[in-house]
Amino acid sequence: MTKELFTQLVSVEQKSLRRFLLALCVGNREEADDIAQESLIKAYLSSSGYNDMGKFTAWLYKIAYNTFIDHMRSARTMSPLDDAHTIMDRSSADSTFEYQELYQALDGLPPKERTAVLLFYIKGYSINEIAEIVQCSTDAVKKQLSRGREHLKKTLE
Amino acid sequence: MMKQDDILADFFSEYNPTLYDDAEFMKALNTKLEAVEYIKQYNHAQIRRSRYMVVAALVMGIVVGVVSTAYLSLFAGTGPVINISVDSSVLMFIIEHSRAISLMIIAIFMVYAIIGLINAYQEISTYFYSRKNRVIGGRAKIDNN
Repeated sequence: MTKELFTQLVSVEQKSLRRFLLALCVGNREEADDIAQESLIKAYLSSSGYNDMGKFTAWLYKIAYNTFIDHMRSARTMSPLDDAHTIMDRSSADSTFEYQELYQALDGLPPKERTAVLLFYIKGYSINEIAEIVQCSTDAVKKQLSRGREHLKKTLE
Repeated sequence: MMKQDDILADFFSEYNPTLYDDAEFMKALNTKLEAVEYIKQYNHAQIRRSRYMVVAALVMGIVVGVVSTAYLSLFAGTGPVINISVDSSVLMFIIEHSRAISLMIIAIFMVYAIIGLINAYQEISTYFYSRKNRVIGGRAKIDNN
């Protein structure tokens, strides 16, 4: 895939991907955009071996999900000082406080459940498609969705 | 299949957060992609150069090894390989030990050729490994259930 074609495809998808990542990062715009940029660079580096054009979006989301998980892992190994810095970032990230209630509810979900819920509701993906993106069985995704929905309902109601 | 007609569907259908400027995002991405392209080209050039060097080392090692072995084989016995009438003690030492020195030089070139071969093998296997593992940017899994 050429750089031009990749940029063209990404320019169509980037907004939706960034919205998904913003929800996944519970309103932290800087983190969401950083993950989006990193994911797209990874996708570009892998794009020479990619030929399934029909699933380009799902492929991008899979990379974005993996990158998000990698970020979470590295955040876990941060020193307490770094951690405190992250917390401060998060609290000030969404300056307009829009969707704060939703982000707070999502923050209470483990990453896999959060991802499953967001892919299901924001992207409208089927359970099979979600299973492929998060590399789980369909049964596991069903459970994650069910638990995620229950938690969100309780928190948002 | 799960029903979407619930409170969550309403919540998410209205989810349309304000993002940072799209043009800025794409501009930053393009800058990074150009940097990636530059690094890729630089790496390809480096790999090409190192391949040529490996091939040159291999050919040189083989040629020198063959020539030196052939040269040595012309001189049977254990006497010196070269014979020059000189008074210098250093040169006399070299002449006296020319067979051993020749063997050492052959050994060095052969080792050089073997290192070249190993490098070539490693480069090829790294290339195939990286091709196999490309795609899906990271394979992190976390236990959260």
